[in-house]
Amino acid sequence: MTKRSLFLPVLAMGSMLVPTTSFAQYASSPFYDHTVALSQAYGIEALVLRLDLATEFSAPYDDELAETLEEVTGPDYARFKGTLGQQDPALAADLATALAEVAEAVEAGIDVTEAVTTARELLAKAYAAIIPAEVRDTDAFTGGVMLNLLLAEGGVAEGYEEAVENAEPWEYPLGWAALQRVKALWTDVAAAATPQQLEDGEEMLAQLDTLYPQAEPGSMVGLNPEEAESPSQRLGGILETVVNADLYPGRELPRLAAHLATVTEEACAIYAEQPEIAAETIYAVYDLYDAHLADVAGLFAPEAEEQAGTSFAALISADDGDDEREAEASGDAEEEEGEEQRTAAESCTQISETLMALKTALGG
Amino acid sequence: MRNSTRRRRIGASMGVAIGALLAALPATAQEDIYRVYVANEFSADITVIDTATDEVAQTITISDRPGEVRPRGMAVSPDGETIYVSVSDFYPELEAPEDKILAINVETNEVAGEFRAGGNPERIAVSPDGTQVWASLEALAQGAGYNVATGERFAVHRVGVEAEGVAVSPDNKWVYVTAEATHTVTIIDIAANKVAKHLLVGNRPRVVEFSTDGKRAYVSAEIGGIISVIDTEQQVVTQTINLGLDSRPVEVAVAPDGKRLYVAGGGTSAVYVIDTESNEVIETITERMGRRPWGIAVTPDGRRVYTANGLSDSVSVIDTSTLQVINNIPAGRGAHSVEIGVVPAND
Repeated sequence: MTKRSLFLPVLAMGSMLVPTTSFAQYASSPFYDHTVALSQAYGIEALVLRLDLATEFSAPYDDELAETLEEVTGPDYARFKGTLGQQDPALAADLATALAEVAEAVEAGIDVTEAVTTARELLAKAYAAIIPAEVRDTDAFTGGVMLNLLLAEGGVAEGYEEAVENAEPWEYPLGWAALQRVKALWTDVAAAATPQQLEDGEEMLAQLDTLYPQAEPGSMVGLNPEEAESPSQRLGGILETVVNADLYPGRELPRLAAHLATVTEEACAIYAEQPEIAAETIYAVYDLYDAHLADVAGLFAPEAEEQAGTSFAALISADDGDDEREAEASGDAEEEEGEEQRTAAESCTQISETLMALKTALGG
Repeated sequence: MRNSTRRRRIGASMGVAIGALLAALPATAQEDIYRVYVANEFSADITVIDTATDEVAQTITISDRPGEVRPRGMAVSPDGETIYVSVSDFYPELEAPEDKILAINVETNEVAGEFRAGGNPERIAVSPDGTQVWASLEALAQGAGYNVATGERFAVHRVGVEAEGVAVSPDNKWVYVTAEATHTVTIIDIAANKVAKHLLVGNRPRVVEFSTDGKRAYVSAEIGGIISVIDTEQQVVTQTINLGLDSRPVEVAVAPDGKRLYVAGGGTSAVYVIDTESNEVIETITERMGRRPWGIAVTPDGRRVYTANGLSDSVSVIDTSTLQVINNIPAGRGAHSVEIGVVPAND
């Protein structure tokens, strides 16, 4: 069955005649305008959160916390590694070394202060190198970063939910660290706020503070896992009005699906030559697909949703360092790598086509 | 419709009464008494307000574990004499006694019965004949129907992810269930006991309500900032009413005469008044409104609107003739939903 035919039953339902609504209320849409840049920024922010926790707590770390900290060389790094390598190879090399030193120090259970300081400085430079000043210095972009910190995986709302619902207490400190970062960024954008917006925003921050009184996770038994979502969502709404930007890209699902298909297609075109940079786009697309489209795809076109999930997993793993090392160990590194990239390019194309078909299925 | 049903019943009763006796009764004795019920999510109780005085008449404790057990959605029986409350804890997968639907007798304000509803019931609706309660089971992505008399669950259907709002059509044929994460309304055919279709609506749909004639259904979309209008015969979205992206609408209430739709705008702390003929916003009420109204209900006579304000822990009272807030009444913590119960006039 082709991907297109997967959607035919949905179209036949005749239930997708959704009148469009104009969302021109705000001046910009950073998740559309800077899709990949926001993902890169979030990657850097996520690494900084881990560094914050590395110094908030002391070595030797709890095993689960150590795992979290060691992820400084993981997927969040892959969100911007390729572009940084292209923009500033020396900085990229220094950062890779610094992050590896942090991970090694954590694993060894020794003091990480010096390694963290170095990594922090390099990440700040990486941020400046990757995100153009005319983008990163806007309130709209900052709002996008803040919304991710509030609502994305590993953020304020999700960190709390994971800790309570799935009994993963060490997700809690990540949420706490994300909240501290949100508060810092709030002071950056607050100058544009009206007194009422300021009061409302600070009230939501205060509510979140009561849920995150300290970095150390306490007993989470019996708590409401959704408790941090409501104030986070409300703060997101306030934030939109303060930064004058649409921060919820899922408001127009067909438009989002089409946009992500286009962005993915651009990545597919460079996959063979620049796989790391292309993979950065896939991370960005996956975030938005997962947050806004996956559930609805699962309801209307479950086979397509499954196919998209498989393709995303293949692409993201294609960039994984462990796979590369395994290929080298086999003695056929070059051949394996070429095969891997061909597969990645095919998966990339599959994602783009699936997203475009989803756009049609959603009435776009 | 609830009011006209009541009037017919009262009329029949009066038919066997002696006119002179009725004339001798005090005027107030001939009028239904309205009571406002507010589900307070965080204090785990129900605030009862007497509409004659707009004062708190009683607080009904739902659980002695506030914060862990939450009353949220409510629905009123067609005769107005029973308020149903969905109650849940934070362990939706467990068969805990806290996941249930309570029935409160409006006249006595006592819990008259309860039945289990596993899966984190969020909102509920009563069928027009009063024999069924339907619930959205948030954690299980299900819509479930319960027999009011026996408490037996007679239907369960897969709906969208994070099920939220639920309504039964006035002709008792369809159940609509919203789902926040899939941005959908699932339409359940009650007689066939199957899902008819899923409809895409605005982003993060919360509550669905039918028009009094049943020809339309209105769905609030919290992040979309819109009301999706569904043509119930065609079962398609035919129009969207834009309230603004910052409006964050949650509960909606249709006036008894069907001419207005009242929408609680949590984001702007406003009530939007919509003319249902033109589907245009004719008034946005913000003056003296409590903060973050989520719940909203209209009295059966259509003269008052009550909102449950979650951030100010209060209830705002709106005079529908002037469309102004005329009172604010303290409620419990985390006022979530509001319904109007009726104590029948003396027969």
